[in-house]
Amino acid sequence: MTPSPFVYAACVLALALIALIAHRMDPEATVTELFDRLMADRTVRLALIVCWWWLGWHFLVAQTVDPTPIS
Amino acid sequence: MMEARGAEGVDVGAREHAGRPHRRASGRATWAPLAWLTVLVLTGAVQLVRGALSDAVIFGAAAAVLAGERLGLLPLLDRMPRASRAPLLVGAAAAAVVLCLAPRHSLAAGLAMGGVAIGVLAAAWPPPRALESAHGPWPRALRLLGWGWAIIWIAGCLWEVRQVTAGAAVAAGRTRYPALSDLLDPVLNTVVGKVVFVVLWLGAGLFLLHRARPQVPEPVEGPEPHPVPEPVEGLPPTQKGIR
Repeated sequence: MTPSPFVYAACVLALALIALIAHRMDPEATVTELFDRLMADRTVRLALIVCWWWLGWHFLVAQTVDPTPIS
Repeated sequence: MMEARGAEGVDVGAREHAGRPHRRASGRATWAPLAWLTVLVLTGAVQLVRGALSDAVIFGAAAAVLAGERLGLLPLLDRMPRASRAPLLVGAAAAAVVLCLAPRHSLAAGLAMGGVAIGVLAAAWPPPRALESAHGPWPRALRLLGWGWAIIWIAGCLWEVRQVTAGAAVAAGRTRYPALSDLLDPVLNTVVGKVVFVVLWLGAGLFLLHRARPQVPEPVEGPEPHPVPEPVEGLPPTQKGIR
């Protein structure tokens, strides 16, 4: 069985774990505070927005899956 | 705020960090914009290699516009007025309905995504550079969170690139090396899967836009005012004291 789904699930779990550890170290170290600081700069803010928008574009409108190569 | 404040209400950490070349006194890392511009350029390059020309154009154009703005080449756009919240929420709701009802890869879905792009750009471009809110220095736990998340996201993206390239190199490679798109594609072809994705995706966008709004500064804490003694009933003004 391919490990790919487990890799993506592990990434999600790791994100949650880091957020939990940081919050225990300092109750004000939250994901919200992280994004408040990131989004304060226009370049970072718009780059994040572009990445977010592209995800929607990719999965809902564009060619999501590449054509299978001809063997 | 998270940092200790001195008697003048100035961040102690800001004084400690003052003079370091890689970090402004406000605590905003100066290399963060460059890092994100690099992310856009590299993502565009990966899309180009993958053969997705339109995606490469999206990331390339975004990187070029943001780099130009950073260099001060787009002064007319600096004072773009901020879109109010109500039309944004109405637009998000309308986009959600269209994206849920319209078939994937359809013209209607494309038009809805175009509308979303215009709306979020109008909402996220302001405020003017001079009015951008400044934060204090990054506390240790927040730095851990930022670096941890960055490393995990980069690792996940590298895995995705590996899956895409390996899957495209051999016959039936997408079964052996499925990328996130291969895993989610069948889910998104179901009604429930698409509705869940649309709601989560739009919710994430609204979260980002909400965090992009300038934060109201906290009032500087001062000494407690002295309590005013209440007058005692029945005594002349000169003999009034604390009850």
